[in-house]
Amino acid sequence: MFQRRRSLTSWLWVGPALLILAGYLVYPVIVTVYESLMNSSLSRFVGLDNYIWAFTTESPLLALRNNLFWIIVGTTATVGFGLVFAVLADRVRFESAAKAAIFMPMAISFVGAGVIWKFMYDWQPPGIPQIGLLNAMLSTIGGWAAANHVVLLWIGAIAGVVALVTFLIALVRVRTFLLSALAIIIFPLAILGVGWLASAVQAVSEITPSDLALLVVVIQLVLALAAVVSFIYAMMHDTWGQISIVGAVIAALCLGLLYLASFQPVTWLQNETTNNWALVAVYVWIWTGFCLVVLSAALKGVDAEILEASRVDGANEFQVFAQVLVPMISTTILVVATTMIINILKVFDVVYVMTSGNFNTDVIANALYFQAFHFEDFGRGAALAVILLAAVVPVMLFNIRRFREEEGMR
Amino acid sequence: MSDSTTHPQMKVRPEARPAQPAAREEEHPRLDAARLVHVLLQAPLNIIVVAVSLLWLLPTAGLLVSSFRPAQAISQSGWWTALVPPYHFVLDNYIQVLTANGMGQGFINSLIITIPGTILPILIGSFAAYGFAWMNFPGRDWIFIVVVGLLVVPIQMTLIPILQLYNTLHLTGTFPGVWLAHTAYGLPLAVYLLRNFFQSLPKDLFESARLDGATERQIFFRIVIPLSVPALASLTIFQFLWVWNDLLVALIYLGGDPRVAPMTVTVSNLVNSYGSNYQVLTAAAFISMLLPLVVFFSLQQYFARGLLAGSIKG
Repeated sequence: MFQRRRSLTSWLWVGPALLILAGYLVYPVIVTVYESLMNSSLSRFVGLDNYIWAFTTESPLLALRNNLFWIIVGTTATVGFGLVFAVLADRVRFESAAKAAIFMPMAISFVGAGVIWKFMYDWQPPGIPQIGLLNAMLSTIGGWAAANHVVLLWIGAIAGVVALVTFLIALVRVRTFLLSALAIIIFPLAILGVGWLASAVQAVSEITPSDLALLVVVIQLVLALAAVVSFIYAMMHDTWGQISIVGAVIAALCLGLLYLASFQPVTWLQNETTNNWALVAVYVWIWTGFCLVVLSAALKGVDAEILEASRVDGANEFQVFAQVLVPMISTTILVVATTMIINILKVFDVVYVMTSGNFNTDVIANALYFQAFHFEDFGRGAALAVILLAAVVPVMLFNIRRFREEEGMR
Repeated sequence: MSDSTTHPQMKVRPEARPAQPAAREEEHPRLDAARLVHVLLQAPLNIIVVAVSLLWLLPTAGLLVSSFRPAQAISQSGWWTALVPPYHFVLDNYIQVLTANGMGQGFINSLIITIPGTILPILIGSFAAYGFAWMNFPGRDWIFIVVVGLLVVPIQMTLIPILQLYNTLHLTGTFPGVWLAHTAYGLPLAVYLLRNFFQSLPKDLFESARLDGATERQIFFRIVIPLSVPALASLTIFQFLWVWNDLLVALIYLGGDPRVAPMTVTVSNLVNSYGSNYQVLTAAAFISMLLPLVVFFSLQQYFARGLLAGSIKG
């Protein structure tokens, strides 16, 4: 009896929400599932034809592939930046101003954001003044780098050698198995990289852009690896590691500048190697603020005493972050990541406003919109919407497992 | 806070503890030096935070500068060229937006739509989130999963069925119709986020309150809500600005009636009536951004550490 009354009370708490959701979201979903089995004008039952179309035709498949790319890059970037910035901002005095800067894009209406990024990505033929900031900036820097390429090569080479040597010294001083193993991989690569650099310096007048590009890729790969390892090492308070980082950063900077020496203005939104990245960048710019604010709210709930206790116990800041802070707000991180995956799954505005899905940038929600409202094929549009709904199932299953664990813990 | 017992244990170095009192004694005379070291260590951190903030503001800065430039200049040269003399800034774009027909009414309508459109989903959502987090009823987890799964429903998918429903119920073109729609679209996220925060409150709190004979309503309003202020504040900010900046829902459910049209609809009419004159959007974007930013800054004070501090040990 008591149990039943308790159960009845809980329905009163969740009831209003469920009623509204049933009317506004569940009912349209049912209608859509029904429509997805009908022909374009919804007059005849066609079974699974619309789904077969979606999984065998080039354009919806491309949209599916692009969605996958969006989910991987977009979720990682928004949640990652949001988390790191929430932790960093937590330690500065101007926290709310810094957070406001990241949050601001969220407050801009979507049409406004479209105009903003027009000013970033705009392209004009070479020779005409660039209106887009990105092309203008890179052209200017490239021109400067081309004029000073000899100096840049030498500074880059010296900094690279310094980075390498200090990195090796740091390595020798650590003598752990892991780092030695890494060194075995890194060392030949580093030699190779310096060899390339040396030959490049010799042939300074006849460098072709593609040679430079390859050189940059190889050396930056080496330096990135070296930087990651030495970064961890520097975290353990070693001067050599810190010098190595500075050297690597300077070298990478010089090589990056040299690469820009042959820069031609890029049509960011039409060029098929850059456009999906360019669109995701806009999305990340907007949505990092969401992740930041929610994760920051969670961070404020972490008891300062626990952090202090682990610091007293000798943990450095990086360990506090990775071993105390992140596990303590892991549920919130999962919630934010889930929300972002779902939001990105149905990404529409960015793509619609900036490319309308042209130039191989189509995503499902955009394809859905065009099928239903431009080509007036309601059956296909509905099928794409149902596919979108189905795609969320694995994410939800992962969440259920997580709830169960949580339930067991408390 | 249920995680606090399970977080990975930090290894205590045996030599670290005895060193502690000695460090304490030295602290006093070295206070200034310590402060200097602290400031120096903080410098890279500050530089990184400032640099990232500026990078993030750069596109918006471009919009701000552009909003003060004449339409012709915007399409002929980069916005940064306006930052060097000779300056040529004009208020045309702002004047055009602010004096547009129905802009004042639009602002009031926006408020009428946004305030209930923010409070309703958070209120109803937090009731439901409390039920999902701290009550037992059959099918609870599955219903919750379905609610979260509804996040993925694209709004475009719901427009036609709901509009048909609205026409028969005579809700088209009315404020309650829009309030309910915004409530429904905001609910899945509100329930999901809030359940997560409510769940993380210490279990002892609920057990002792229930033992003391507190009703669910008392627990909710006196314990759960005050302790979840940061979460509620962050959700309020987002729901507010989503409803405030919404164009689609308002266009579909309110129709073109200027008596109920919010600012976003008025602005979009303005842009359309001037052809492809998108430069008014630069000014409109800034005007419509002001209120969400005010909300953001006024809710900042609720993001304070230690709201939970007293309750855990109690």
